[in-house]
Amino acid sequence: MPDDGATLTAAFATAVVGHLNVISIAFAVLYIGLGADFAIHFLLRYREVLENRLPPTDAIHISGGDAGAALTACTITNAIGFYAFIPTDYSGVAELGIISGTGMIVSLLVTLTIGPALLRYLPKRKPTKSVAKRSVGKVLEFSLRWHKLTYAAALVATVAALRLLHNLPCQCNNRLK
Amino acid sequence: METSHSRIHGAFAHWTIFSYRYALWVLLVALLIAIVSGTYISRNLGMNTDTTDMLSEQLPFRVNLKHYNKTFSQDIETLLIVLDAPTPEQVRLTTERLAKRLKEDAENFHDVYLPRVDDFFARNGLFYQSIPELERITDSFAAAQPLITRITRDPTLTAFADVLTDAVEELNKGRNLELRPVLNGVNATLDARFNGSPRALSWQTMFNGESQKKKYQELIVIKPRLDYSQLFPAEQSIAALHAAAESVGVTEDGPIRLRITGEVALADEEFNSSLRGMEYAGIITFIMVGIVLFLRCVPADSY
Repeated sequence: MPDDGATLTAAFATAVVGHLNVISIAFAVLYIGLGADFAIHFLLRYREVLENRLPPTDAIHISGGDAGAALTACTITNAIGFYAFIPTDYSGVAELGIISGTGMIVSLLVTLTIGPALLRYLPKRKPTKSVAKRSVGKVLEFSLRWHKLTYAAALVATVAALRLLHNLPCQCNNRLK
Repeated sequence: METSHSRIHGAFAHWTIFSYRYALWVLLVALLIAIVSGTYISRNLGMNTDTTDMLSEQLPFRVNLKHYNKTFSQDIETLLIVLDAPTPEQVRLTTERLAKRLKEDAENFHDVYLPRVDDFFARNGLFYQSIPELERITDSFAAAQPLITRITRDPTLTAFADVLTDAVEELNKGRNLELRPVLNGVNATLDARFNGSPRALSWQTMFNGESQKKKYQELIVIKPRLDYSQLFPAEQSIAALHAAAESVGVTEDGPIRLRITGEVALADEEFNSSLRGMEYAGIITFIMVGIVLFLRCVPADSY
């Protein structure tokens, strides 16, 4: 799935920008990372619904609606993040912004179109509750129970990080070796 | 009452159900689109590997840079060739030959400039020396004159050995000859041979009465033709340069060493390393995403 989306994104890059440069070529790696996320969200929701012993069509209906709405929000925030590069004077990064931002929209379309179509032909196994989910749930419960401690720890970490930010030197030479 | 959230939910639900129902068609169309865009990319997607182009053209320093480059166009996008050889003759001859070869190759290079080897100075160089230096040079030439005449007539080792023998005989007869530089030069060459690191004897340094240095250096500045639609714009010209060097006898294990630097070669190297990084990054991402997806699947199946 990410491959198909990456191809479409590259086609978009060809049509709009016409070329890739040393920085925007990185979109391929970014796309695989972020594009896989979209598919994971959709598929996990699908499995969750299947665990409640619903037939696959109902599961697709519910998970498509749920994940679709959530992933649209993800797409918008991701695309904003990438499109924010466009107005910079550094056109190497600006082109990466155009290509990857649009890549996120492509990713949404591809996930919700090809994902369900592939699910129909994949072997159907009986889903069971995963163990990993329970342990993740426990961690979440912990931070919920000790929420005041969590706030305090986050605040301390933020202040410490801001202090360290002062010492961060800027390497402004673009010929990094 | 229908809220906006449920409308969005419904739209996506219908969309995914549609894909699920007409899965075969969806997959076929997707495959078709992938093939079409794949061909489109391979035919049209260019590569702009000029790193300076990545900055906006309106930036003040880029405007100045453009102006500067226009004014001093001979200094931009050059390759600097550095040749090292054990004698001044070798390095000079190789430089001239290589430069000639490069000038003939108009397809890959459009300007060849030799900053130090120049016909003008070969002919008029003596005019530019100081008087004492000029005196020293002419004196040493006058002293070496008999040797030079015989060597030019017959430039072989036998002739050279004959001259040396004659000179030593003259010396024994009581004539005053300054043979020290010549014998020192010959001695150093023989010593080098016995030490297992043979080197050539330079006439030039010997006649000048100077001791021979470890190596002599010459430079060639060339402007290669760059093709920015290629991943490595200078790849072809650099390959042509290596081929030209080999054809004039500069080889890996030979006495003459060729090194290539300059703006173009550095940019090439820079891009090469970034691309190599990109390749590794791509492969590692792919494998790691694969591992994560695999691990997520296993518990669900095995419990």
